[in-house]
Amino acid sequence: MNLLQTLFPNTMDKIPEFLESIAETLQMTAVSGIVSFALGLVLGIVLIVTKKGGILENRIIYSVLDKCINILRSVPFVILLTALMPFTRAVVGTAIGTKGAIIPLIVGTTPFFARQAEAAMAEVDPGLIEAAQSMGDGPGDLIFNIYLRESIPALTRGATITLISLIGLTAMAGAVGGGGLGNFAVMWGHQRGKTDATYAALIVILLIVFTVQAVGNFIIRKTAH
Amino acid sequence: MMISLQNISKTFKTGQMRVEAVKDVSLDIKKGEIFGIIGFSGAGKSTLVRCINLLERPEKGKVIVDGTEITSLYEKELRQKRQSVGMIFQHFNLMPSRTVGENIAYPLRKSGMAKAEIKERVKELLETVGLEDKENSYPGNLSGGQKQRVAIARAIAPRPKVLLCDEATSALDPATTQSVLALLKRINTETGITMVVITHEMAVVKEICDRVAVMENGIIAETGDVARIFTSPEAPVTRSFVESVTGTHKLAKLLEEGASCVRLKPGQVLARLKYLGSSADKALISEVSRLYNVGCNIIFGNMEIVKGSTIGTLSLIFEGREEDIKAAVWHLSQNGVAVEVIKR
Repeated sequence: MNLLQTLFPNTMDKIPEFLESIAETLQMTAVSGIVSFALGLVLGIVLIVTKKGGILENRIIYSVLDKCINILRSVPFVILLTALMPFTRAVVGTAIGTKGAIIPLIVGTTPFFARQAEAAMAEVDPGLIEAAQSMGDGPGDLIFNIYLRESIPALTRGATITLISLIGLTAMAGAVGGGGLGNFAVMWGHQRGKTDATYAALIVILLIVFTVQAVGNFIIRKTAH
Repeated sequence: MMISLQNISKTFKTGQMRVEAVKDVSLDIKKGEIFGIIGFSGAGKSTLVRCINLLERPEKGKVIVDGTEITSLYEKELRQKRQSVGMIFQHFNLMPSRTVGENIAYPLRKSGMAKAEIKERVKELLETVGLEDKENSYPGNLSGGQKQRVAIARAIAPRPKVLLCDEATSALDPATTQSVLALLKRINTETGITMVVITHEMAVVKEICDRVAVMENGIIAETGDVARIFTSPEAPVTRSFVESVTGTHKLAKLLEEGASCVRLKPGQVLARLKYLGSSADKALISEVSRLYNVGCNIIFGNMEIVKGSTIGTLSLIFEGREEDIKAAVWHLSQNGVAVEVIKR
């Protein structure tokens, strides 16, 4: 305790704020992570089945979705945050704070994960699809039993990368009033010149990232045969 | 007829290129037979076999399987029908995230069978393919031959009437190929399942097929009983396949290289003898040698047993007076040996 007091004097003064920031970061990550995972997975599936040679090939749907994702992914997140403000206010009632950050986080993360999911499912051996079709499987079976089931390790890898990049985005959202550890580092650490607060926020972020990576690796190890 | 293909055509378009993979092919496959389709790569045989379960839909022609014209079925009915047509592949296509047992049970999950029944059926199939101890292994831990055995078990699990084998042994070593072919043959005998075997190896056809179609450039060059195809191939492509097994192409190579063993002295005649059936059982060479006073220098010989009949080829050099050699050749042909003079 004494050591912490010596190393992080200004952080120890702001313990309630610090803990709240951690909670906010975790909350933003969890909510937008879960929503982006679900939406991104659906979009990834749509991409994989409608692409050329896919099981439900559809050039129009594929090229529209493909372009939308590319456009959204090209927008820098800081600009996305402000550009989405009217939309965010319309949906959740406010454009600031943790609540206001979640919508831009979802919009920023979903296209990223959709690409990760598409890439993960593209690794599935086309021979498996052919074999399942020869056994009488239709599109629903193929999506759930082959594409999703057989790409669990690759999907986990994609989800881990996405989650880590999402944690990065939550810190950025914090800088523009979204709360969380990013906000803590900027407000207490940077603006008041109390560097130890910045380092404390950084250490917690790194711990969260390492935990996510470790859990991801564990799942990959358990599901890859 | 179990399978009837009528005027099947299939074209692939890649960019500006149009490739006619299958051109107006008609084929009838009888119930219970093992029917081979042989051809070099690119001949269209894999496309043709995929037309039987409509993994490739031909743009022209009818496909009739077990009395149903499947080319006119709706997607849903077709899926139902596919459960009675099993298929195995060159690269096995087992699902790596599922155990051997789960792979085999996969096509049974919609069969209406109870869990216990499925478990029983999987056990039975594992026994059939000789992998009783591998039920809980993952495909990644099996050898190629074991993987193909699992794939066979999975394909025949719903008791299909037809099994399509697409280059099923092409990724396996010769010994494993033999054992997988023996397994297929046994399943055919025990269950009466109709099999269509796609291959580029004449040895596979020789081993298990009853009839064979030889494909080249999207058309069937020749169809017939395997024994007939071996003894009197008509199409040039068939001849080259048969020669790949009987080893006669080696002679052509020796001649081309001008090897000393085929360099003839005056009065020598290089000939190829083809024995069929009972003629292979007689000591004809020493007979003609004795009777006509001709020397016989054997370069090499080969003997194959195809569907119970013996097919032998022998390349040799006759040495002696011209009329004696003529008489010897006549004697041989009187005894059912086809003699082809290659060089004199």
